[in-house]
Amino acid sequence: MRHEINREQYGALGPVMADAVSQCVHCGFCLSACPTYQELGREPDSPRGRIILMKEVLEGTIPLDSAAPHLDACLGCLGCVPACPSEVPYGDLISPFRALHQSKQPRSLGNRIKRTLAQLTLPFPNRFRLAAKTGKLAKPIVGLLPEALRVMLDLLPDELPAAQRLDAVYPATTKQRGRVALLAGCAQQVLAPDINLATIEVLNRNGIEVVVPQRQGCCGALSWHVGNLKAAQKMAIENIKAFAGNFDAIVTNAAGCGSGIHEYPLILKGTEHEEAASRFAKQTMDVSVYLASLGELAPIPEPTQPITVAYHDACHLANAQGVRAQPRHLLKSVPGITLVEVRDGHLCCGSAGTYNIDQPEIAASLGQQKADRVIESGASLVAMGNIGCMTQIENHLQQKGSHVRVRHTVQILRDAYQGKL
Amino acid sequence: MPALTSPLHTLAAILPPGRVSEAPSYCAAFESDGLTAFRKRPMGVVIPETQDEVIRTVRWCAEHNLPFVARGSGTSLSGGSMPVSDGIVISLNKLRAIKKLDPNNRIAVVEPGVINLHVSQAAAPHGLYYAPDPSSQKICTIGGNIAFNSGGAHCLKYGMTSNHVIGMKVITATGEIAEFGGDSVESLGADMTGLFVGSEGLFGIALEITLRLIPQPECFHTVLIGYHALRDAGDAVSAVIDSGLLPGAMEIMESLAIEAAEAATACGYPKGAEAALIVELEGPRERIELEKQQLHDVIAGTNAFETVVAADDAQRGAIWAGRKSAFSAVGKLSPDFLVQDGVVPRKRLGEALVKIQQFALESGLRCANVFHAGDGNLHPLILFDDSIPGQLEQAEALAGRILTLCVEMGGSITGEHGVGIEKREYLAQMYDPASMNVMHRVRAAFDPKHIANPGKMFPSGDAAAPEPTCTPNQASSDSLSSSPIEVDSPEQLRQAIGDFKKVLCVGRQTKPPLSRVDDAVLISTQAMSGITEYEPSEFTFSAFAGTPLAEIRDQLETRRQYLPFDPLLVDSGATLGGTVAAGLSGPGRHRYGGLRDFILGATFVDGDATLIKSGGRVVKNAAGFDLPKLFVGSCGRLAALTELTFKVFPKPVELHSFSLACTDHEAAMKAVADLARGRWELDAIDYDANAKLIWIRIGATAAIAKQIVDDIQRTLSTSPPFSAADDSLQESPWQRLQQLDLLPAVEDSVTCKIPSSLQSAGKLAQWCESQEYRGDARLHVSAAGAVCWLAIRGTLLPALEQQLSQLQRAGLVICDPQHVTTKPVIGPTLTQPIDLAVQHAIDRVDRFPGLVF
Ligand SMILES: Cc1cc2nc3c(=O)[nH]c(=O)nc-3n(C[C@H](O)[C@H](O)[C@H](O)COP(=O)(O)OP(=O)(O)OC[C@H]3O[C@@H](n4cnc5c(N)ncnc54)[C@H](O)[C@@H]3O)c2cc1C
Repeated sequence: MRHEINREQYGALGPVMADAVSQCVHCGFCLSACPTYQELGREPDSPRGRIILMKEVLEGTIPLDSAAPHLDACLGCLGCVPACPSEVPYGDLISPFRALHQSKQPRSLGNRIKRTLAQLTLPFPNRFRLAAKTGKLAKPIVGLLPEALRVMLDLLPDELPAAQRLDAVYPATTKQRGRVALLAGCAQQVLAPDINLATIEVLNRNGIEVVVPQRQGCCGALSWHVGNLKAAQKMAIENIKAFAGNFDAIVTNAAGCGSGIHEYPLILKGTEHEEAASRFAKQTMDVSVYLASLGELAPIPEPTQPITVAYHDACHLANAQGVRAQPRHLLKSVPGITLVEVRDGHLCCGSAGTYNIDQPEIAASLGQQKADRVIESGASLVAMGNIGCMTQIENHLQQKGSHVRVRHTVQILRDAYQGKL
Repeated sequence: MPALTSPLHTLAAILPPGRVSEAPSYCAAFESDGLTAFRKRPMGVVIPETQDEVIRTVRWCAEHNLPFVARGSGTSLSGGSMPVSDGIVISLNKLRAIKKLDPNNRIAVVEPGVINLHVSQAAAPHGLYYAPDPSSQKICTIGGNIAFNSGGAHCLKYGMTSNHVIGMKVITATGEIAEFGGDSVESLGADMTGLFVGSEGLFGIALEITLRLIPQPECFHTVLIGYHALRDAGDAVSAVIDSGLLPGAMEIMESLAIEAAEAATACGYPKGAEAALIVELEGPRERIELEKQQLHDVIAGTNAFETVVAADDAQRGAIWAGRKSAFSAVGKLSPDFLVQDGVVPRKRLGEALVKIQQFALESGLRCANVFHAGDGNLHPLILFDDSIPGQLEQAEALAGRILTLCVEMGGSITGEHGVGIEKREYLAQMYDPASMNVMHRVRAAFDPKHIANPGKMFPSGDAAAPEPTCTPNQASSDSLSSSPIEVDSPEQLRQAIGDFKKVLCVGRQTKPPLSRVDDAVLISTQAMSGITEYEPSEFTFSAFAGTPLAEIRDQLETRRQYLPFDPLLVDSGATLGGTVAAGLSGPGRHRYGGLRDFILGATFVDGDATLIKSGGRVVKNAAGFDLPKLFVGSCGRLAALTELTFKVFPKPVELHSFSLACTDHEAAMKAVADLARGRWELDAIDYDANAKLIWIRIGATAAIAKQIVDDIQRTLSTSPPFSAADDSLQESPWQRLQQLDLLPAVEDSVTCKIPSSLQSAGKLAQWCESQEYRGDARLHVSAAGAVCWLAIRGTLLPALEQQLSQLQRAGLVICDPQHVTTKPVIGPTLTQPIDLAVQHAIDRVDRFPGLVF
């Protein structure tokens, strides 16, 4: 599509955004894959519409505040990416766009507090723990808080698991086949530390030594997606340093973090770290991808009874990293598991980073639909590879009084190894 | 939303809050459709959530003289949904309810914003689907499909959108709410539904649409064939057609398009192919088993270098994913492209492609070709870069040469994407001024103020439309002789029409009640007879209106082709024109569709005694309004038909009939529904209510027919079993219906056609059976419940009238030897203002008698 964006005007990200716009042919195929379009039925709230809006803002023909509500409503789920026959890299447009325009956007006070709070706490496990605890204390007075803050609190679990400190190295428990470094994730460490333990155990059982670089920090995805470029760059550089070493792979188990690292080359575009970022991103993969690449897994015992498991595609795994087959393949290889699909599986669950904090109504509607589809699948367990989805789906399943359990793919594998599935 | 400043605030005031916006974000997002080379910011955007809100919006526009552009998903490739700067966009995406899905009668009633694919998804649990499958089907709306009469890869066998839309509720640009057609595939009166489909948003907005659903094919046999030369692929298509096979789809892609699709979807297309041909057979397994081999033999005789047969659904899916993503995938090769949509006669495909390549070479632009080869519908994709000054103009010039080429070759400028804004300057190349004028008049009947999608379809927009002068009807008073005046050429007919104040054309008067008028001179066309063109390899023929059907049947027979709508009264001498005017199809219409689904073109004389051409001579044509369809069922009240063009099909190898005895009508109707929904692709499903016998006809060899009928028996566990019938026998019900000789023993019998549903048919059957009328009425339910042919003793007419009003059904009297009826329609009918306006647009001087309704 034709545009008149000045490629020079926006620094290193200018050409990236301009190229993404020019690749779009406005065919509309993305509309069918966009959860917000499905919800709102309005062209400006579709990927195609948003591309036009960003183009126009970049060209300077429409004001940012007219486009902003529609761009803010984007989940960043990238459902549009696999749906696009022209392969428009939508993420390469929306993230830089947000990074560039974040500071210029007028927002309500509550919204600002919320965004700042999320950015300042979620990436830091200790702060998040503290905030979560305070949040818990505040739960009884929830009704008194501004709407924007209330939704954040609603999402917090009633009970936080005990804090978990990870060792620096976990040696393989069978004959060593490889060595990886683990990105531990931030929110995940607070909300579900068990996922890291499960990851480590499954890898160890398969002869993989797991190193947990102690100086690692947040991947920066959150800051990047809400448009805080400076913070995201800082975090990326720190992580590239922290993970220096000789590893077969850098393994992630939170889809959001994994896709965040895959965006490092974009985040650091035009800086001296660009190349290191590309190398780092290439080395990073989801735990399911790494496990699947090992070929035959260490044998898993037969379960006492068969179990039906549904698999939910996390957007940041399926759309952002193209990981769909591997987790399914792993789950299918567990004896006794019948794997089923979730209808309309391509639609986001509404979690998408801080979305359930920013756009609560749409997030809630998508969450409810997802819970319905999961229940309808008839599974007793639903597997996924992202903590954000887990919190969201669990929340909505609970609201519906469902007993379907929400588990991370590696938790299921670990439980299967322990004969506790 | 910020407060509205423009005149739109009065519109906002009559709608719920939040429906109207003039924010830059809305105006920018809607500025173009799938053809971004054309864009315009509207004054504002309305996103109504109910039909009532649409109605209020359109009426407000009519009142304020403010233009509106209806919009579905904005995937139009011709700029059809591009806004106008002094008007609003009405986005229909929130009207997305499937209001009714009736699996027994195989119909769905949907709102215009419903996505094409969602209809099939909703119908799938019942084994049904909605056949038209544009490549954009995942996202385009039924409203948009209607506007353009959209097609897809599978049009060859089952036709385009208009063949699957049987009724609708619309709001015209004047604010009138009208209903066309209904819940039956057959209707009475001029086919306004057919006219509305393809009107490109110029008539108003479709609010509710009744769609025909058909059984999902049981088996697909999908073959992907690689050729080193495009011409070889083209030859292969002709070879398949000539072999008598009727594939569901035949598509060709050229190397550049193959490359793009392969890159986008890894669809596994043959490497190094200059052209890839996809042929897909579909149908019941028994038949496909046989046809598969036939296809294989045909392909083996071509210059194919690689043949891949899809082994499973996944591989078939991949083959189609590649084809369906081809357009947008080209986005990877080039920042901008124009998709062309011309149609050429199939036999000239190769020639056209060579010319297009040559034009592209001369213009210096790349051109990728994808096309619906079975229909001769080309999709050259012209690649260009809009940011390079002059390239858009270059691309448009190349597109123009291609369009002109298609017209010169006897084809059309658009097969399915519509004229829109992009091709409007070329429409006049296809139609002469007289034809253009009549289209302007029809448009004005719906939209006198030119507020619905103005600036589209007509050359130089709307304003320049020259209003043709209307010669008043000056003919001297008519001498009413009893026998019709004979004419033997269109010119004589034209003159004769000018000579009399009131005229009505007749053929051989095999349906006398339809020409019983007392204030008009009858002109007989029976001497204006003969087939003017027959192109077996194109599946088309043209003939004068007075040509006897028997002559056409015999001529087609020589090439093993037939009229799939199975016309009636063939041996009684019925003519082609009379059959069109009466809108009569026989039981065989069940399989592929009725007369309306096969008419392609019509030449006619209007009330001004002007000879006018409409439609085209190729199997696919979406340029201009579909006037030929309008004439189906018009009973000669709109114009005098002179020459007609039809699509034909290869004839089934053999026909075999079977009958099934039923205990009662209710059980029979249920069995009919099951048969119609099944996988067997029956040629006809009728019910002789008096004999309580269901009759089915299978178009296949005796052996296959036997297998199919055995399977039906197993599946439906019918008892008693079906019995085979000898079709040559006079008592077979097909014969009786063919001659409309249902009550031979009753002298004053009246025979009428009543479009119906299974429920209504069941009730009529009960009514006929009730003691009082036994023996005085005979009911033949045809087309799987969609049509009732009812013959009754004349004295029962008042009772029938009453019964029909209860059922809310109307009937058209076809036979009435004793002149029992006073008018050709029985039961409740309604003439709407728009019906009269359209009649008046075609016949401005009231030359033809008033509508039958
Ligand atoms: C990648 C791609 C592939 C395509 N493939 C095909 C194909 O294979 N075959 C094919 O035929 N087309 C194809 N198209 C073209 C397009 O998808 C069709 O024309 C489709 O029918 C448009 O539907 P829409 O909902 O997007 O309508 P829009 O583009 O929004 O509107 C199209 C027209 O319909 C009018 N309209 C919309 N709703 C209504 C209503 N309710 N009442 C009256 N008028 C209305 C509009 O005013 C406009 O004139 C393709 C397009 C793309 C981008």
